[in-house]
Amino acid sequence: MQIPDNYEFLIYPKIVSGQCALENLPTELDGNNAQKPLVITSQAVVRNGLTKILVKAFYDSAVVIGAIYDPVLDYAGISQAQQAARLFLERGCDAIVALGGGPVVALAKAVNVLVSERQETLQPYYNGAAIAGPLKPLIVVPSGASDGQEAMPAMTVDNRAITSEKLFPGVFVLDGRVTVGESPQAVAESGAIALTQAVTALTMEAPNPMIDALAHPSLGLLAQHLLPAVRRPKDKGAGLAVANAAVLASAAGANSGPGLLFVLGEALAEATGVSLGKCLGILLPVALDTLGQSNRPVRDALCLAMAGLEGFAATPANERSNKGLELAAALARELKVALPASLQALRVQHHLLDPVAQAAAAKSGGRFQAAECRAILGQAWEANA
Amino acid sequence: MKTIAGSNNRILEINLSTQQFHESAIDPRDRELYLGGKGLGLKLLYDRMTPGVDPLGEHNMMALCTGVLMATGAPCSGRFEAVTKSPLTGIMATASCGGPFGMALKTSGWDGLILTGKAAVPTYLVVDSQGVQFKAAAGIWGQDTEAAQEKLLEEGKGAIIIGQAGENLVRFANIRSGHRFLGRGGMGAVLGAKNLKGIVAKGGEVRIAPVFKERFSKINKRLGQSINRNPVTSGSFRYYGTNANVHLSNAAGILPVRNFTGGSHGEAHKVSGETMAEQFKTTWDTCKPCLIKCGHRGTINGQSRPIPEYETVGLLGTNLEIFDPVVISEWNELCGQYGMDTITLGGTLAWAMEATEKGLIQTDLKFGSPQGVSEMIARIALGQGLGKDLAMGSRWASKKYGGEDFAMHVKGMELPAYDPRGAVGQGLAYATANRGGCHLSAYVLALEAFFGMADPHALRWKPYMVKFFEDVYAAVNSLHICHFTAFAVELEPLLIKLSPTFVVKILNQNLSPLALNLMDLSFWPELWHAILGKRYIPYLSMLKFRKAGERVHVLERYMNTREGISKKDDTLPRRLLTEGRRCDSAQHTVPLAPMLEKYYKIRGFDADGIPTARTLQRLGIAVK
Repeated sequence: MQIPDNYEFLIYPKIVSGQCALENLPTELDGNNAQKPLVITSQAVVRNGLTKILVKAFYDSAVVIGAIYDPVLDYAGISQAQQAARLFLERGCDAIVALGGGPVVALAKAVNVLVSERQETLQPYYNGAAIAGPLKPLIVVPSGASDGQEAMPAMTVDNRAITSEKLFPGVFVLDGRVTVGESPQAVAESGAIALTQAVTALTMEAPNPMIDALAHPSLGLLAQHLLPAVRRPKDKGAGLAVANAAVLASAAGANSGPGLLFVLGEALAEATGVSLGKCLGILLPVALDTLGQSNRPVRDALCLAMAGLEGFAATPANERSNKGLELAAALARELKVALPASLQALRVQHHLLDPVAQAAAAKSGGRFQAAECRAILGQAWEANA
Repeated sequence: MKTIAGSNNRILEINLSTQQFHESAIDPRDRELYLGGKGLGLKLLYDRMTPGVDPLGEHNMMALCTGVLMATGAPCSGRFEAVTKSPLTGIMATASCGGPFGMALKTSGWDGLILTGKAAVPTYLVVDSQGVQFKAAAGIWGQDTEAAQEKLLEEGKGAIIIGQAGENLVRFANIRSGHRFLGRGGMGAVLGAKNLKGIVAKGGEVRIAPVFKERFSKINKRLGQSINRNPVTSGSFRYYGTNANVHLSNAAGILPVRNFTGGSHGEAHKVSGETMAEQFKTTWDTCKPCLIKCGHRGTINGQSRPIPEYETVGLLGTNLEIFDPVVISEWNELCGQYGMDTITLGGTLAWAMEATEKGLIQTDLKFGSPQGVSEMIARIALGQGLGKDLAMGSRWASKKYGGEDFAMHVKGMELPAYDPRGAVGQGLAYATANRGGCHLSAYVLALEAFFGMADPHALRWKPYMVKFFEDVYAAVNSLHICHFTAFAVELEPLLIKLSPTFVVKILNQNLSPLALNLMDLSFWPELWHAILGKRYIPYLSMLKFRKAGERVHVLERYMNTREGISKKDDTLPRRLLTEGRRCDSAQHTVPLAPMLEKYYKIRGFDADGIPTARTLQRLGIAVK
């Protein structure tokens, strides 16, 4: 292994994982000097009965839940952040627990900024002001649905990203009862996002051993548990493994930065209203195939993570680049059991492909060209299962 | 003058790129299955247009279709329909208008016309019985709708025209004909993208006569009597316009206030139809021919101006917390001249006010204050500054600036002025309406909130009611006759008129299919049959008429699914699904999911909201 001359790496969240990890939540709050958390969650989580499990975890503790704010759907916006912040202050809460993934966590981070910084809106931060901190303790209890941003020092509220190291959640509590998937599709979508982040981290051109240290186990877990979790979403073991992989991939992604695929997926999701997971599930195998057909080798680390030590050792050194890409593409292609096979099957309108490619190129700040984005979109539009 | 018995059955197909045109005939089977107007327009485009075309590209088409009733003298039949792919929503859009163009087109010998291509330079068209002349519109390009229409009417009896908003591709630009509009979905931008300022039809070249004259005359008379008996069509709408709904909506708690955060307001009476009629000494200014006469003009600040419709008052008034009828009428006039839909404009301005309040954008706009609104309307129409972004509608603007959870649209089209948290069936109707946030797809709220004929918060049978009215209104828009005749057709027959309201309510809530199937809709299909000389079989012909409506609705849905529409799009703004209102102590929201699931089942759609092959086959829609 080579250590680069210079690299940066930052990781924050403490991870508490297990089949009954939720019972540790009061202790974690207590350890952060918090006694009355505001729980932010979504209607889907309530519908699945997960709030009841959370409430039971507090039965034998001195920590009391200040309030549960549960109308979150699929979007984090200032409107709900203000409502939840008012609730936080009215009930005298001193910490936030985000129960769920994606917009729930983003909203929790936004509420935390509003209440900790005594702000009415997020306008100062959109205009570039730094979050001074310290913020209130934030504990994330992810469900089976993830948008890949949970463990990042960032939040996307009202479609605008705010980045700050202060936005790292303090603790992740991964509980097998909570991380079970809602449906094969939901698991496949979360898996596609995690897979994209982990593969991007392991194929980045400037290797960083610490990022590899997170991406490698993440890919290993996905290679082993993603398909079983898609086939049996209620399998607690597989769900917990995928959730662990998602947190690790998200933390790796926080350090590696978004790759072409993630940026393209976000632009496509924004233009079509289709979820990011579905978009990445279609784009990922196409992009990996394209990369395999190019003469640009990727690092052996991808092969090692996907094939395991024995598979890696059995692969000749000059074939490891392609082998790693093939295995990752094959895994991504397997997700088609739960996801559409192509953008055409998803009924994405063909005339949107050019503007999406341009939007992705603009979003990447010139790192990627519209032409390469368009090429991937074109292939993804007519890709076969 | 040549007299045509029944219908012309001629379609004029115009290619603006090549400046060529040709005539095609309406297939008799399509006439049977799709009736005319909206249904026929959709079928014509289904046969000709490929999915995925850019709404503002040259391959998008627009069909302008009249119905069988046009020019026969049937009451309230002076309406025509436009069908195209909407630049606002990216899916099919249909719009109905009571302006004089329809009559002029029909009496020029055409049942409809189809536009495709893009003119090289600004152009307008002159249509007569022989075909079309392409004329340079340089002299009128840049003019407002009123001035430009005046010029076009020198060459014919009825015109359609776009204003600066259409020319600047404002996604909710409309098309004007007389004082009426093809309002929703950005029809004006489609013409603007084609470099087409307008079309004038010569008119008065042919006369249309029903085949069964006596029968037609009898039905006509009976329908006229019903319209003149009904308290809505001969009372509130006739004397106060659609604005009569302000009091009803306010009382029912469904009047949008402050971007749908409230459902009633103590000052609402200031903008009601009753107040405006008295304040502005209103007179009738209607579509022709019309018996209901809901369109009014009045003297406002010494000038004769159209009185704003209910939707305009709701969206440009109460929803912005503006209760000054003079200011609202000025904005209404401004929108008419620029050629912009007041519903989408009002919804977008309300979003902008709330986004300003929440620090997402910086403008002078503020709820309750008219300051800066006129200027913003102009900036939107002319594509200047932030106006250029707001000209894309609230969906697009909220994606760019944030605030998607309070952008009040469905499928990209802003909601009309009825809050479905006080009438949940209407919530389902909004979510499933083919063109987006639309109250005309199924006006269930009248039963729920106005007439007390259905519990506004009960879920049982609401999916059936929504489907029933969607089918009926799709058929009505294909005849084509005014929606408001529904009050007379549906509520005047003796069976329903003599039944106490509470009995109707109980029936609707517990035996809705039975109650709705007993509803006598025979006036509409009887007129269609008499004009075309077809044998009318009581009840069976009415069922066939409803099935035609179902076919039209499902065809439109199927065309939309080919553009990417599915269950994910059949939803409501998040505010309606998660937030209660101060005026409602029970804090109702719209429980959409269970209604939607049932609706798909009775519609014959799969779990993702796509019409199944069996449903399409049953309705005779060829899969493409």
